[in-house]
Amino acid sequence: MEEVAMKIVELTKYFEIGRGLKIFGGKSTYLKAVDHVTFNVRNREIMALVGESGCGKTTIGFLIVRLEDPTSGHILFEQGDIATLKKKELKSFRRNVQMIFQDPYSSLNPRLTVMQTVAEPLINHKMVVTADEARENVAMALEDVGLVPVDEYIERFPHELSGGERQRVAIARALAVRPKFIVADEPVSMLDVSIRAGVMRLMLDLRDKYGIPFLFITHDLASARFMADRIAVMYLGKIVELAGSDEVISNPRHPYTKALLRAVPVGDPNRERVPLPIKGEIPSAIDIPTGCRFHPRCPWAEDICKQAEPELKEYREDHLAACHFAVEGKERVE
Amino acid sequence: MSFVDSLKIVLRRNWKRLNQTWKLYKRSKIGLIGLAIMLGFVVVAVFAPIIAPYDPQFAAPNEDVFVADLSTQALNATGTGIPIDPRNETWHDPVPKWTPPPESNLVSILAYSSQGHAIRYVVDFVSIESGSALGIEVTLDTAFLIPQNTSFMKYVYFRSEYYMTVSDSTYWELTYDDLTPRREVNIGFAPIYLSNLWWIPRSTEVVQDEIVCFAMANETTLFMTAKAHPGIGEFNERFFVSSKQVSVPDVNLTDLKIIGDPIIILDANFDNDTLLIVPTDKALLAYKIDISIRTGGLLPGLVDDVTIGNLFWYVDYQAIGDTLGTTINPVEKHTIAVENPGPRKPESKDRIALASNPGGNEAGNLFSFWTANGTFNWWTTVTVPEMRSASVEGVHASDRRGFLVTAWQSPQGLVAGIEGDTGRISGNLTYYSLVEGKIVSVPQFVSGNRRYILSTDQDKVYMLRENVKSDIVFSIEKGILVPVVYVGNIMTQHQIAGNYYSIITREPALFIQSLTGAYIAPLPPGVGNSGNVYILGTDVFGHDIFTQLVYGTQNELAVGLTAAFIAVGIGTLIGLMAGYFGGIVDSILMRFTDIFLTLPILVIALLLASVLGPSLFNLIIVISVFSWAGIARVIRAQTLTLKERDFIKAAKVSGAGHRQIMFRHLAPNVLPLTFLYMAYTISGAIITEAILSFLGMGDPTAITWGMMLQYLRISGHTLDAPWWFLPPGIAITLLSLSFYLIGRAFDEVVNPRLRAR
Amino acid sequence: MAGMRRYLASRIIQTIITLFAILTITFFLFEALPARPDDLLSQSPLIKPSQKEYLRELYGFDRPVEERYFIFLKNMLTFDFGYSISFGRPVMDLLQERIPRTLLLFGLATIIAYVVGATVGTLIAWRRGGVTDGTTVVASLVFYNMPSFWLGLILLFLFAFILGWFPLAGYADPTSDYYAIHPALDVAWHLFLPLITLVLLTLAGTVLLMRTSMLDVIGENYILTAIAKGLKERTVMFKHAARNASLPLITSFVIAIAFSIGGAVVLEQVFSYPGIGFLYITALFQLDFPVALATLYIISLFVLIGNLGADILYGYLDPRIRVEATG
Repeated sequence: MEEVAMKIVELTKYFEIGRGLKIFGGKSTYLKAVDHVTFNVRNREIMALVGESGCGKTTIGFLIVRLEDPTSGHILFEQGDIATLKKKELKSFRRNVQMIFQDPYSSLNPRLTVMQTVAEPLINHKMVVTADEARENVAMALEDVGLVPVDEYIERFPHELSGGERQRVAIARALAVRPKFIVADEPVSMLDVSIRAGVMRLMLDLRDKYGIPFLFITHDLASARFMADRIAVMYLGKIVELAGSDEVISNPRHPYTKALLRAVPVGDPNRERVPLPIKGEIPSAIDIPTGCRFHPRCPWAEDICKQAEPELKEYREDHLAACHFAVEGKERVE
Repeated sequence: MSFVDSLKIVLRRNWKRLNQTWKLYKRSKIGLIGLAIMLGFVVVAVFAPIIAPYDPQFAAPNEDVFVADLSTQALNATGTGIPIDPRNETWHDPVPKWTPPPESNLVSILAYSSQGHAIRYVVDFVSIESGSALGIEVTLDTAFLIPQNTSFMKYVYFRSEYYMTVSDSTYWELTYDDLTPRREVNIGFAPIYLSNLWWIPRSTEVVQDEIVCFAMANETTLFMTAKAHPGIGEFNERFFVSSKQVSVPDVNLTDLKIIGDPIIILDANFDNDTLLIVPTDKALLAYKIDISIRTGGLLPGLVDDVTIGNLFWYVDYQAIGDTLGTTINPVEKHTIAVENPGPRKPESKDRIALASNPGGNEAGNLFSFWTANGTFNWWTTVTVPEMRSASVEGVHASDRRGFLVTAWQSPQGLVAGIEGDTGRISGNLTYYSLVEGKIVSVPQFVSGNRRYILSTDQDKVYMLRENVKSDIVFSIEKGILVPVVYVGNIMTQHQIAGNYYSIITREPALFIQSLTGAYIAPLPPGVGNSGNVYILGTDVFGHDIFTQLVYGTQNELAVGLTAAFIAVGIGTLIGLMAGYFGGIVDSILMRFTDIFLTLPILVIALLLASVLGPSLFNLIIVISVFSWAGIARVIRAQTLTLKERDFIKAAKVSGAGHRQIMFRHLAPNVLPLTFLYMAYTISGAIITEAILSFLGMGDPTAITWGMMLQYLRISGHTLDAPWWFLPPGIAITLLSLSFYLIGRAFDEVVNPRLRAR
Repeated sequence: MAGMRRYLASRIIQTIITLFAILTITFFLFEALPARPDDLLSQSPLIKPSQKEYLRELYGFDRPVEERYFIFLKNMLTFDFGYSISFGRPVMDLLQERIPRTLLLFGLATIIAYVVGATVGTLIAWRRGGVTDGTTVVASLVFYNMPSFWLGLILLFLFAFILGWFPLAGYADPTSDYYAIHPALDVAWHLFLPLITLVLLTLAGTVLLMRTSMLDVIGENYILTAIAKGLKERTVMFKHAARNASLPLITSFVIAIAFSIGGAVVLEQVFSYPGIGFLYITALFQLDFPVALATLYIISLFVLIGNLGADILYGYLDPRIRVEATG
């Protein structure tokens, strides 16, 4: 078990929408954001969680850092279950699990300087006592993320920084407390394309240097491939495919993964891309289709897909897929 | 890091932001105007003592407000052969002589002391200019030696002129010309209480007889002298003396202690209801004055004897108190007064009023009984909105039906006109005045210019109109030693040219001044007789308007800023909590806020101000209570928006607790909104204070512009003193406007969509 | 309509809660006044002993506080107010006499101010930056920040005292010439000055509000679209822009009608106009508590109903409000 940093077991989050007036016997409607998800993140690993908007990936991120409380399930980490932590224990837990947010423009308090922002978690967890200590730690963190010379940045306000710089500050803030796990929620999606590589590179370097496992949430398969060791694909609250990044890219088994791949722009304009014909749009998570969630849009759906929900089964070693036809030997020809 | 370093860092951090805000703010013209005006007021407030020409207590001297005619005489009798050092004498009320009504022309004034000295001055009138202003000339006549320990003197003309005098336990009649005794009567005790002096002409077909009665009392015994003198012929006057101990043995009202001046009520014919009313500590007694008439003999119809007769009726305080459910605890000295103390017809029904203080912190009362038989009529509590628990000092006769009551609740005194029929304050509860200090003189009615005059222990003389509203107040700079006494008129060509009153000042000196209705305050802007410059004129009390405006600025800013600060503080706190915690906390807080938003503000504010009482502090509370709700709503909305921002989530992930998130992250980000609304709230607070003060809820001891306008309204000069009327209103408008403009400009900074596109 | 029923329900409950809160606050404030009601009763000459007894019964003087509270609530809710201590007349009579006068004054003033204000605000917002815009805005700002009673006094001074065109006080004067022509004319003559004062003051706020609202709306894209479509300026201005800009105005209007009764208090004092505000202040100063309580209650009722109306209207017009309120 030592190789696993975090184990997510049957994690579920339902949001209650449209409260029926219970006194009148009304029923509530639920939005099933995350539906019995299970996967592991290994030590020193960057695991990517990929999917389109509304698939539940961001919610999983929030569940892990306890910005949301799970409806059921477990998040096993460091001898404990994050899902059942009580209020008092939350604070010490927070030291070990940090998050980097998507929007560099809103994840920093516009009224605090870089120094104040990065120092905040240090102070909260009593990792520093004097102002000088704080400054030292902050300086170190800023050096780690490449914001040098430190003195130029340390007293700036967020509006005086570029998007990439802000995201580095956010990373520094997450890093300063030496966490044991970092959730990165689409950390580069809102950055200019030219900046993205630099920031992703930075995260990789930090992982190499400090050995911190990352859960890298994104909608972009390309960056997932670049960053992650393993990729998990989510659709409508469930993981539909989970394997090493190269494996997923070269040998996708789930129709949804295939469709995603086809949609990724390729560098070579000459190479033809044949988009996969999937119909319609993502249904709402309130009204989830029966059987396989993807069946209404799947070009190869058959009766069984309507009736039975496929499990996330091992197709090969270290490659799981949730499709009735993702069975060795039963591959489809396209 | 040292303190200075961290200070530098804080300044530097915020400097850029402030600078940026300022740059944006500057773009708004109205913002700059508003700021300029506000700063102007702040400068005025800070430098008030330098800017204001006078200090806040200043009142224009008499020579400016008062076309007065005055004379001061040092009481040292030089040249009379009697050495008097006025400071070693205990002076009493000056005794005027005036010609009989209707002229009541002042002829002389006598000042006397307990040390056996009296000094008389002759008063003559002088024409200053042809026709218009008249003056008096007061010259020393002579000084006299009078009996030691003289405690009472009064000029009487009853067939001849003399001074009625009481010294120790002797009653004297001293001739007017040279104060030699012409009658001496042993009273048997030293009187403490003195009644009114009454004389009535009495005529039958045959004979005319004039009678004068006068009663005195100490704590247990009554003593009455009466004189009769026929109107025809040269028959000598007859003098009667009578004395009685007070008690009502049959109902066990013994050991009675007389506590106030008795009153003689005579009717026109001496036939019935000639009563001597005596207030004691346990009961009110009415003795019949028996007048026996000669029936036969030489001249039937003449008065043969005048004595204090039997007890006619009595009122047992305890008994009455029990029926009414209250306690009667009469005041001393000016315990009772009789309505309309003129000669009455037999059929007229008059009342007597008794002043009492129940004790504790409760307001004093008046009880009224019919003089004919002592039956209870009404009782009333003497209370006015500005003085809810005054203790009654005394009840006095009024010039019309009803009474005057004087009361005191530190530091102000109260004089009010009471309706005889109902006991209510006359004029639909408006005939009253508040004065500075305790009223120490009996309010006297001056028929000449139809004013009441009284003085207080703060050395102020008040003249009140018939509606008991004071329209003339002035200080006696030299201090009042012996309170004011109306001394008579000066007539010229059968027209009353001036009514005069006199005071013995602290020097001591005899001071006589006229109350010629030429009181000209409020003064328009200009220069007064004393050389004082009044830039904006004065109000009716002689206060310089400009000074009040300047000092008022301090209070206005204080009230506005404090109230707004509190309101915004509360509102922001509640808004933050509601927005941040959400759920049931939000529901409860917002319900609470909604209640305050939908209260009809002015109506309840008035009620609240009534309960709390008039003070600047209470005003601040009232204003804050009604201003915070709007801000709470706005801040809550803003918090809800901010709460979803990622940096809040990041703060949580960084281990921040609720308090930290609210105050470190949310609060600084709602601060711009807070400041914005603070500006508007200040603007509103200034107007609200003005309205509340104007309606009577303001603090009478503090100068605010709203109070200035209220005094204007109360004094009745609203329509004729534009210099008093315009400046406060303009000031209020400007100050409120300036903050509003600042708010608007700031609004454009915070909400960019308002900027010019 | 989505969520309307729930919205209505929540607003009505809110109103009822507020009413009870107001009544409770009022009760305790009156209890805190430093005067014994029994003394107050004894003082009045015009009130008959039978009426005094009735009041004693009605308000339960000899009962303990808790009982008196509920008695008080019952009295208010059943509109059983008793007799006025100062006048000796039934409170209901006084209210019936005075409420219409105040409503007339302020209802009229508010309607005029809002109609004129909406129009003026629209027009000057459209032509932003002109001299008219500037002057109107400045004038509005000044009037908005002027203490209401002061303006009243100025007008009284100028027109009633100096020029003598209007009477100094009162509501109607059967002896006046105007009355001889028609009683309504006399009333109008008395009404004019307070009306004008109130109109001017309210107008200031309305013009500013409408102007701001219009400026917001004008910048929106759909207005540009309308102009681009080639619609006549006037049409766009009124049919599109003003209609949407008047949303905040409409709610403010309904609230203003409700508050107009409260606002009466000050101006009625200045003009000695015998409406409900004047009655309230007099009653408060004379500690004529049946009248003061009743007046306060009625005024609160009007304000609450007005607010409720405003909320309903606004909820009807702007769907976002319904969702937010129930969320």
